[in-house]
Amino acid sequence: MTLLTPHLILVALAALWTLIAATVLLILLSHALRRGRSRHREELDRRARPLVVRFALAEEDDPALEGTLARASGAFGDRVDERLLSVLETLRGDSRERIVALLVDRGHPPRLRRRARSRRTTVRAAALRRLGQLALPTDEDLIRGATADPSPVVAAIAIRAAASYPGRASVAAALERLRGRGEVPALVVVTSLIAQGAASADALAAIREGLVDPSSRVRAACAQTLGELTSTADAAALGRLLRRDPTPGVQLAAATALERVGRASAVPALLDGTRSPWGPVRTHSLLALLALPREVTAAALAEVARRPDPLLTPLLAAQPAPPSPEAHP
Amino acid sequence: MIELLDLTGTTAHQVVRTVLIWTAWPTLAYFVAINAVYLCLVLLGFADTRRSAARRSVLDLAETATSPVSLGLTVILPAYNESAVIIESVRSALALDYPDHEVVVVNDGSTDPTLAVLRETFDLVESRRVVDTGPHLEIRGRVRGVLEPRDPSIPLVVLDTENSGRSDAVNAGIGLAAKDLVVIMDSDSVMDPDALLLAVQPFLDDPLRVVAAGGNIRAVNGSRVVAGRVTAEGMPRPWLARFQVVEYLRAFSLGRAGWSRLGALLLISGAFGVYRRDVLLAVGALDPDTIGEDFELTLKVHRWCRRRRRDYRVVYVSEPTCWTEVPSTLAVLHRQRARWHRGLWEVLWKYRGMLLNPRYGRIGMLGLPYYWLFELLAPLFEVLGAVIILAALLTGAVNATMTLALLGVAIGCGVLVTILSVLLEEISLRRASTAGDLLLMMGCALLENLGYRQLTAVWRLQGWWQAVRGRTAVWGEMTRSGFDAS
Repeated sequence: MTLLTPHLILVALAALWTLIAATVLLILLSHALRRGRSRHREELDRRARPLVVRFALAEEDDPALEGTLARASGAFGDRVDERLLSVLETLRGDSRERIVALLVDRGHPPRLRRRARSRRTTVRAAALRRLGQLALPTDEDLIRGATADPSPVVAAIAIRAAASYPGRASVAAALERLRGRGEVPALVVVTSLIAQGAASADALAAIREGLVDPSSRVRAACAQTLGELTSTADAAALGRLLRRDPTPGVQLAAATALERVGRASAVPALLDGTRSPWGPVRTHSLLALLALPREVTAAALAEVARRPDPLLTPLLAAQPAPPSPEAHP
Repeated sequence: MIELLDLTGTTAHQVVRTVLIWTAWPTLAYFVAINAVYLCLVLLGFADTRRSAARRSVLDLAETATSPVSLGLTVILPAYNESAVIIESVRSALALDYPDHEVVVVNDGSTDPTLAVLRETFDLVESRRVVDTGPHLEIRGRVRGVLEPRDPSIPLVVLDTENSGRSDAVNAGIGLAAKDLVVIMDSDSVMDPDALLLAVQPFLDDPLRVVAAGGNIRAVNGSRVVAGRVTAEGMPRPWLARFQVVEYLRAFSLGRAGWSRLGALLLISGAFGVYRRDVLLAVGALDPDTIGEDFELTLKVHRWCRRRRRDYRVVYVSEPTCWTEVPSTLAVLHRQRARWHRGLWEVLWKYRGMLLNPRYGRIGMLGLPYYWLFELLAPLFEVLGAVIILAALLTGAVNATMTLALLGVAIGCGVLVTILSVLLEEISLRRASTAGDLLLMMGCALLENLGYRQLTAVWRLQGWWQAVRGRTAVWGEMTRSGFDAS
């Protein structure tokens, strides 16, 4: 044990407890800073909130109020911007336009564009989120470009913001991110695609083309999106995907989509799906069958009921009992 | 040299010196190894928690809450003589934010009016639903009936079975569940309203590869609970509960997060785990004969997936939180720790074939060796170490100053790990602590080394000893003081 000299032990002891003391100090400092900032922000919000609400709800123009809000600067100005943006999410039509005009008048968009190029991830992400809320035509390329940001957080925010510019290019940008390492949550991409597909025929066409993409994540996202857009026109393509796609994840997405957009023509594919070795695929294929009228699925459901499958039995049993003939006059 | 007793030259002195000479190097190696592992886990835990927080900042939970893409989920609530709390628990579970979830209450042959209060409150009628467990899952308790509310808009099913224990009751609930995912909850636990939305995120991203996800568990003692929700976080008054608050923080913030990052998460806590139902049915769900049934289930899932060469993931998600009451008396804590260690031993022994077996990848080569060396054997080393040091000091076999300095280093390493978990909690903004609570937590990090850890180490050894001697396991009764709503 000559290695453990008294000197070494005492140095290790002193270093360790110094580190502990420093960490304790760091925790207390961090806590004090956070609480201080939070209190300051609450105070500023208390001043900004009534002004913004009055402006948003005003039936007629109030130049004095508008002037006060337009001149707000510094930390208070930031809170005014923040309150205006949070109100923006809940408004449509003229009220929304007035708030966007006020934010432009306050010089907010140029500040956001500068911040969107910041080296700090959180600053970039926050700026892009706000630019997406404003949805100014000049920012379309900036937001679409940010979907390729090296930070998955920034990219996810940009994909969500890109939904404000629905079209083929925005769909392509969102799907491109899915081809990567999968760091962007698929749900964010699907939500963006749903918004775009509902707003633009071009976007919808691009999403349909995604069903034959070489990437399985892209195919799955497009299938999920088409299911949400409730267009039975895609039932046949989704049925093909459920039957023939080699990736179970895509089969599951197709089966889930068919729960909402199924048609009688998809019944054979769904029946095949109930035999899949993958539990969730079986479950959702059956749920899709159950969502269709009994007239077209009776034979398929009878076949499923004949097969003992503990995953599917509770689903069949959970269905309401068919009305008995005596119950009808 | 400071000597407490002048025993130089005596047999006792010679024996202690011989023991020290033989154990010095292995002890040092164990100390360095365990602290190196903790350091790695701390760093990995930091990385995982930061990543999780970043992800949380971009995830709009409303997306999950309103998305048809979300997977259906069944919450299973086993209940045995819970008539006092069952209605609040069920209402709390029904009110959780989730787009498609049902609650299955399994009345495990209660002898009190648990079933009667459920029947009356929710106007229960006979249901057509049946328990189908398939070929791999066996249920021991006879099913006496399945009930559901007359109002079909309430997603509740009550399964009445003969008493057969918690694990068997949960298994029956799994057989009745009708959704893709299953969450097992205790009727005395409280979940944050957004816990389910957050816990299912890994399944939404990767619905077929992710087979199980564990959430964060915290001690509810000292926090304010109103209508089944934690409305204000706080530290409990008894020091015993305070130590456990810090223990939970350390275990979940750094331990589980670190193992999840390594892809070798071996334990999903029974109080809050989300599983794919098809996987549970395939592996046979919980083993009613095992005490550490949650640990056993996680290992069983790993073994099943590895043997089939499945590309799968078992993950820990640090954001969703389930609050549970921790023991506030020494007697209950004693029973709990002895039971936990006994469960650990039984499960590790049952799955010894996976240990250092390359077929099981990181689970066999990394996770299990860690559990054997640093979880199972840790109390043995801790107690032996304390005894030897005490003997050495008493007999003057060692330099007392240097021994105390070494003890300071050993305790310092433990304190640092705990303090780092408090730091992580503070910077990830998960806990709304006051400065006073933070100071208390850091105080606990230091004080737990002065008796509490040694005491729990002895209790853990007792549990192990009972298991080795083959004594029947006793669950005992968890004396609950109830939630603080004041």
